[in-house]
Amino acid sequence: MTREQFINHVEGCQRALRRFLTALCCGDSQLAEDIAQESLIKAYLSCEGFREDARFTTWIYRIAYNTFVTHKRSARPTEELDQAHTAMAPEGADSSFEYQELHAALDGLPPKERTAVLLFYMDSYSTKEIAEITDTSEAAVRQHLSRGRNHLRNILSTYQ
Amino acid sequence: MIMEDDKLKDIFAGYNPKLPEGDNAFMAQLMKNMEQVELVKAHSASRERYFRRAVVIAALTGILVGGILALLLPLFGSMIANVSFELPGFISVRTMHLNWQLVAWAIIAVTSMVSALNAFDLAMARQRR
Repeated sequence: MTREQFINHVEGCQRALRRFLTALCCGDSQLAEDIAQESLIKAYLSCEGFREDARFTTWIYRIAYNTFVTHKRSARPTEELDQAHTAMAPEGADSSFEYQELHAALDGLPPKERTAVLLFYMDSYSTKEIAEITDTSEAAVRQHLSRGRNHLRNILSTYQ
Repeated sequence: MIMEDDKLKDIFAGYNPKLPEGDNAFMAQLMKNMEQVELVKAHSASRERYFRRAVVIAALTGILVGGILALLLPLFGSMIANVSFELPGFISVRTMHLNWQLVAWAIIAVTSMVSALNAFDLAMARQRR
């Protein structure tokens, strides 16, 4: 894949990717942007090995998910304070309050359930594609989806 | 279950958070990062070329020096054979000759290695300029 082809592909999917990562990071949009940039650079470094018959967005989402997991593993103890600070920042205030309940509900899900729910309901990926992105089996994805859906329903119902 | 699915889909369909940067700013930042990656890759590639070139020069130097000294070994042998020492009785001249050959080969090996290492350092230093 050439540089120009890569940029064209990214232009087509970057907004959806950033939206997905923002939800995955439960509203921490700055962290989501950092992960998006890091993921796309990692993808650029390995784009020569990208098979043209594979779906570009699935590949990018897989890299983004793995980058998110790596970030989670090395998360600092002050991460929650940073998130609160981001939410309180003037530019983040509107967005944070608008989706505050949804972000809080997503935060209540384990990362695997959250990922499965977002990829299925927000980005309309099939269970097969989600399994490819998260490197799990389809059966595991169905389980995460089922649990995540019930979890989310219970949490959202407490806000109503 | 279908109704819940639709409800969840509606929730996420309307999900449009305000992103810190606009699309153009995000892409501009990405392209800047990509250019930096290209710079690092180009630098690594040129370092690898310098290294390979220096290794080839070092190998050729070592082989050349070793080959010349090996060809001159019979001459050293005859020079050493003409040197006489007063040795204790229990050491024969034959034993001294064989040991000198070993010493001569060791000197050839060390000289070749040192020449090769120096050639490597010189080649790397010249290419850095």
